[in-house]
Amino acid sequence: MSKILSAMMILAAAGILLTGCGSFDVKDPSASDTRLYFDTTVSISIYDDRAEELLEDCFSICDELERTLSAQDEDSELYRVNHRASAETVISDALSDCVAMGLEAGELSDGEFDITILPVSELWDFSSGQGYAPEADEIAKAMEGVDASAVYLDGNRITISNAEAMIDLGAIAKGYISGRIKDYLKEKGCKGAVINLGGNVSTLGSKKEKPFKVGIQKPFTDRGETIATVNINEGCVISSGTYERYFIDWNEKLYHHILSAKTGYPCDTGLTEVTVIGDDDMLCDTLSTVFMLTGKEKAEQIVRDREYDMKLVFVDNEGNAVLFDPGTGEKEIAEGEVIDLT
Amino acid sequence: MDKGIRKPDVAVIVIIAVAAAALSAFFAMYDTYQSEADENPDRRLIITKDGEITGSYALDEDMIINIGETNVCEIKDGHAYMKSADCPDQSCVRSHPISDTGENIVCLPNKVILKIETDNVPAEDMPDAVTY
Repeated sequence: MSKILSAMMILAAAGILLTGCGSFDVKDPSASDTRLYFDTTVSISIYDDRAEELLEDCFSICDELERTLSAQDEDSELYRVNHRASAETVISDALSDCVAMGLEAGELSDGEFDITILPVSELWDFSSGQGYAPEADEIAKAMEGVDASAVYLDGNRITISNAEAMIDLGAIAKGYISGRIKDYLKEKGCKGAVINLGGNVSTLGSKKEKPFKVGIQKPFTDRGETIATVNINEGCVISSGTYERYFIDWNEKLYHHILSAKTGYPCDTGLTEVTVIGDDDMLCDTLSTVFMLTGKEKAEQIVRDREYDMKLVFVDNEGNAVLFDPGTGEKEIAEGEVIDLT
Repeated sequence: MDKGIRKPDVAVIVIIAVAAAALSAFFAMYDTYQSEADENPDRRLIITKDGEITGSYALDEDMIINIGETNVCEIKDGHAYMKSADCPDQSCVRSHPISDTGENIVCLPNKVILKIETDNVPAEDMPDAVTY
């Protein structure tokens, strides 16, 4: 019996030794997940040893901020502000930062963008792809609540002097949230991450020492088809476009979701898509909508005047694509072109 | 007890020899696995749930992918496999890792399919994300 036993032990020893000589590459894998928040998909990929743990933390941030910034969620802070009992409310830093951005966007766009567009945007239904425009008098009535000048923000104190006014952070919240996620990952020294938050792409660090490749969606084609690719290490690439949400009515007229706050109807500035490439997620997200509303010339002027460190890609209604760099001006983009920002 | 080599000794030697041979064979197969994975860089792992594509991944980057609340897939060393699932029969978890075009692993109760497809676009050229 003891012979067999010592044989077993020799075997075990041999096994352990041989395993040690094997070529098992014990490398911590990256982690990736896609979940639903803010009525859209949020995909995050992390390239770091602590990938799984960091990934969970990122989704916790999404969870927390959804409860603050969602206009549709009845338990959210924003919902309470919009269905307020009194004109003045104390709000969180997150909500305050987003409202401040929205008010600034209103000024930049001379009122084409208005953070209180919610009463009007609620009349339009872009979810089914079909439908009809609301009646003109419905829109006129709702426009009475569109009044950013009635919103006064003083730190964490917000006063809305128009009882009909309601705030919509649709153009701002996603950028704010991806910015917060990135700040968190940077704080943790994360080596690389790609965040795709409802189509807003934000990158940090690198993917195994190589830059990230971010595609810019080609309007009115299958999701994933691109007009150009951006090579980027760290920054954000955020698009707004008519193709994202629209319906076509019985007369074959297309109504898209980017409403002018001056008319209550979809804007018509000759653009199908605007992409903003920069460092500040919330600013880029907001501006992608603002620039659809102002048109190309005004957008370029704003970037120059404000000395924003960003590049813009415009696709017009004829399908022409141009890249704008405040330093060098406009340059046509050929399909499939690579914009290298590394 | 000095009677030269006896049957129990032979038995011990045979056991060790067989074990060593088995382990070497295992490692030899493992190395072949590795080089197969490196040869064809155009293959991608496509994950679908309820018939919708939820993700497309290159096989050259080790990664753990959560699919809804129910399944976890892992890409490791050029192969994809179902790391865990909450289905009762666990046949997906027990499936052989996949890496060749056309191979797939199915978790029927959760309607999750992992499959390897070949793309016309080389894996290195696929974007990491697309805006919309």
